[in-house]
Amino acid sequence: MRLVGIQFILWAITGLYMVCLDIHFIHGEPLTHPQSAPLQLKDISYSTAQLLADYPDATDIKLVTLLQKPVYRFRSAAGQRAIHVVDAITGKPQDLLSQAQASTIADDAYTGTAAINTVSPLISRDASGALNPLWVVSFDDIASSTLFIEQQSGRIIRRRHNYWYLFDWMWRLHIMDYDDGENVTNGWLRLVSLLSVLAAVSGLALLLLRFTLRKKAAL
Amino acid sequence: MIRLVIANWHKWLALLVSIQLLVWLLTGLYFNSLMNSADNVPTRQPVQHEGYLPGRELYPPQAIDAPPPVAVSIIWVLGAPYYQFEYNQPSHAYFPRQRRIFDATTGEPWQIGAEQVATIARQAYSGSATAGKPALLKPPIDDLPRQQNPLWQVRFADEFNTAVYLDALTGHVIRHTNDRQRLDDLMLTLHFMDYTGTGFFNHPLIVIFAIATSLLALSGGYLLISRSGPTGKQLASPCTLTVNFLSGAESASLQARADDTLFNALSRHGIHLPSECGGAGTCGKCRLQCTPDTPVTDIEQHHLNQQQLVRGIRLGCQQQVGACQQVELPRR
Repeated sequence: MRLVGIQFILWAITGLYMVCLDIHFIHGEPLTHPQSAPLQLKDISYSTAQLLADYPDATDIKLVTLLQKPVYRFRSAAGQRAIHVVDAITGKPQDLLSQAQASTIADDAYTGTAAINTVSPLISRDASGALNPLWVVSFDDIASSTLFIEQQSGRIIRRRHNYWYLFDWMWRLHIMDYDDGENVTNGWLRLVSLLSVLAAVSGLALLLLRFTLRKKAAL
Repeated sequence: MIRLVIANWHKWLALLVSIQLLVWLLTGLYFNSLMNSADNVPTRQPVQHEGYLPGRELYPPQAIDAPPPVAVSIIWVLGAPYYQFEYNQPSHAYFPRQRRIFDATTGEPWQIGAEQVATIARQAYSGSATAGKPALLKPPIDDLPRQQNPLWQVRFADEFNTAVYLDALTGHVIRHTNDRQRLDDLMLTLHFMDYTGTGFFNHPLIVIFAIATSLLALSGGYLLISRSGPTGKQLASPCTLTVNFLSGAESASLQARADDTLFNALSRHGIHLPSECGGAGTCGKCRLQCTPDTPVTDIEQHHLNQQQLVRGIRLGCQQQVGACQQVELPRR
């Protein structure tokens, strides 16, 4: 028990933190409004046919509202980017988002009342390993809420706050993977788990003895 | 004395959470050692829906007779294009979705039928078992507790009872499952104590157990480091301890250190007093007979009654050899 006692306490405390804080809250979902403004379909004058003439390999085509304008958002190998945004009224391709545009998107989506603290660029990698330029917009609230906005698409792809970073550390301590928290199958966790099962079984046996063997002491 | 209160709480907390604690450890060990979700459904295969768009005459979405949506996607089902009008943007696809689907060629409202669902399910399955009839299920769905939208279910009569779940409107594959995956899901249900099927770990039952377990672990840590020993100040000098056994009228003389506890000194010579706490002053079981004038500690006051104290009954873990060099025990 002395060997695994600290980890028992860590499992209990980190588990308590993780079950007490709603997972959707941790993921930052309440930080932003879902987009709800109706699409101005009537304004569209650049048709899908025109879009396909300009970008024959376009896939995952979606009409959305970006900065109060209807735009096509799609994937295409054209140019030096993966995701393209084209104005659905003029047909003009949208450049990479400016810092001011990112601030506007973040402010519109943010559900809190705090002001923007900083807006800084970040080059990240997406799931496929491609370089993905982002704007990182952080708000001056108690949780240091931060929105990560794709410069190519204007999408908010990540929502972070201090409770998320704390949760991430709780998770690492819970699964005993201290570098990136991605390996649930690490041998260290296996060793301590096995020892803990022994400790818990012996504890249970002692507990049962304590509740059942109520015989009087000899003296 | 606080130690005895904590020890008592520790016992009852242990009784409350003991079984779940073992369940957590064993399911945790399962996730760590035996779970390999990626290989659970080897018969899963991707379905190619997409066709070639350029050159197709598409019905303009703005001409479709429908309330204005938040977003419009061009989606593909078995090589044909459709418009998906989205009326909400939930943060997860399993949250309720409000959508309408229209044929992108004619502009007519559309929804997938059972026959096409069966075709897609067969394409998504590489095994040789035959597909059952597609069934349109409403949530809650046993295999997918988080899902809040209706789904098509197609069962395959193979040894793992594979089932494919597909989007109610578009027929896109949402998830494959089979008995191996269901075992993993069961382990997660046990780990999360999710017996009401919420699909999550944020519910009152587990919060109560997590609080109880935290108190159990912290009190255990406290009990481990704060052992209540004797209060006397004997020197570390050698002395002789005489033990008289009442049963056989035999006695023994043992060499011991004056500052050692009777409990430890006796166990060094193979004489183990009854104990649950290992000489920590918690259980009060390691009773022995000293001379009646041996000083009484607080712990002994708690565990022994006045009559016993007057007779010279003491606890082996509370007395140092130097203060009580002659003891009587019932038997060897």
